[in-house]
Amino acid sequence: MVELQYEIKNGVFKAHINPDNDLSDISEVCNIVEEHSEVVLIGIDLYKCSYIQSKFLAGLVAVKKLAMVRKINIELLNVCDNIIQVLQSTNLQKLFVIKDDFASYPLDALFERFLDTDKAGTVSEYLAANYDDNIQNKLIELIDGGNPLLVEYAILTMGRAQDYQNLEIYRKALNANEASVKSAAILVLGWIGDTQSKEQLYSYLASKEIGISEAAAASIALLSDDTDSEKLAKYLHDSDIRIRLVAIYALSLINDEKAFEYLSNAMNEEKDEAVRIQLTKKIALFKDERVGRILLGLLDDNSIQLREAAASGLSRRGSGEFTSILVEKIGDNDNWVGFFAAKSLAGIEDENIIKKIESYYDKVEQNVKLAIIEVLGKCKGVDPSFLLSKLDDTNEDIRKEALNSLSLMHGPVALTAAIKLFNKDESWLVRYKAVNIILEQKPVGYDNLLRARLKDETNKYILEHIIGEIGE
Amino acid sequence: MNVKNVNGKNVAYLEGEINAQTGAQVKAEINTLLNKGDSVILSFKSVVYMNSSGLREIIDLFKTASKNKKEVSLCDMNSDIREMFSFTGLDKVFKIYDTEAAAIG
Repeated sequence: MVELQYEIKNGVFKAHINPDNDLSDISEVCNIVEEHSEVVLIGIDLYKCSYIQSKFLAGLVAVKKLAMVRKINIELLNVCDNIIQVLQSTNLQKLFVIKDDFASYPLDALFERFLDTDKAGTVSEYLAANYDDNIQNKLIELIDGGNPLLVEYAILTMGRAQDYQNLEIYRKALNANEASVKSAAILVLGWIGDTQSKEQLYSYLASKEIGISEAAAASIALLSDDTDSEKLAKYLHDSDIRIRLVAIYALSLINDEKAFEYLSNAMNEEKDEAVRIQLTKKIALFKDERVGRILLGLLDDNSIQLREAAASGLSRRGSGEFTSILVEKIGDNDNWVGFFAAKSLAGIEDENIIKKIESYYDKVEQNVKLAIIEVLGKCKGVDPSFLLSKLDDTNEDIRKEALNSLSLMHGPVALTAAIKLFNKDESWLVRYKAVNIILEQKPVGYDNLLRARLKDETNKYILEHIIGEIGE
Repeated sequence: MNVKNVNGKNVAYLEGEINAQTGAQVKAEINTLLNKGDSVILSFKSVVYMNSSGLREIIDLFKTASKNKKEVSLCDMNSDIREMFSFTGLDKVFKIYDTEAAAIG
């Protein structure tokens, strides 16, 4: 028999379970936690366990019960696949939060996890947070070892840890054969501000290798000075759409006056729809006073997606001096112009303008009606009676959107409406939204209210949603 | 920039535009804050614009904080600002939380 190993630190009780621990040891967990009122989290570390006995499972359930009584959390740490399968087959998995705790791992075992693409990022994050000479030396050993996956994550980890001492390692990795290693080095050089590498990064902007041009554009932007907008602008005319897109990203990140000029000029010349949409999105991120006018003009564009990007940009910056024009456009003969004009009016606070928006409702197509209801949920000072009147509409999308907008602006009114609708509306979409509002606001007795609904509800998504939140 | 103590954690609410100038101010104020505490959460909820110069100041802040074993985490970014962090790979460097509540933990 092996004695139970545990520690209590900063309110966290952590038991390190050994395969030879038995039921009495897990029972001891309960005794220890009961003796320590300061414990707010129980961690059961199963790093050393590749299997689990059924008696031990019963012990875990006892610890869970104690945690519920104490209203504290319990986590199972470093659970191997075998044990996860056992927990799944016994339906116990949902009782526990299952997560990794890398503090239990020896360093070499952690580095092996760089080979697991699902885990590599979190391991790298952990190592960077705990970076010391030992970790640094091991990472350099990995880089010298030459396994591309290990080298990639070793470099990223050193960059994450802001290791400036090994600049030459990152610079050397720019010439690696593998794109993943090169990309990691490019990003890290941008993070640590190595302006000396910038010229070399330009040579990667037109790379055909996956991820290289994107990383180069990002790092050039991070290392940029007054001269870089002009250099990047040349790539806005590249024959490869991907290169034009990364140049747009980099220029929008630099976000200076020159970058704005280059991007707005490119908008006039660019023919490709996907690139024009990106240009629209990125131009919207500039503070220049010409942005609003450009976006307003794009609401009439042939591309629906581009109109959406323009409306979103207008909504983000505020409709400002174009408000009255946009309100008029709600009634445009082209219902998509009306749709996006309405969507761009989010954030309006003026009661008169809100009334004008509402006044278009009966004169416009269904899609514009939906946009009006949606935008009213994003305006301030909207009288809820307009939205309440839409809860009886024959169209389920209108009812759902009205409920959603009410919930955004008028919490108590939305809750009253949701309680009326969650068990009687014929549309499951509306009922689902109503259940959501009840769960968000959690009024007194909400769990009993929803539990009572379980016997009559037929929609599996709603049933799963309720059960997922309050149990059966 | 407002700073509030929420559940024992300092939350700094950045506002408006983060560029070279405002970023440098933020950096100075947060460094002062970190002289008195171990961690700070930067809320980007009211940040409208940010450029690469502003981003560099935030990286610089992180660098100083890490060197002094202090923690800087970020939260409440709109999708445009979040995209800046993912495009530059800086989402791998910073701890970024969707909401202030998640950052506070």
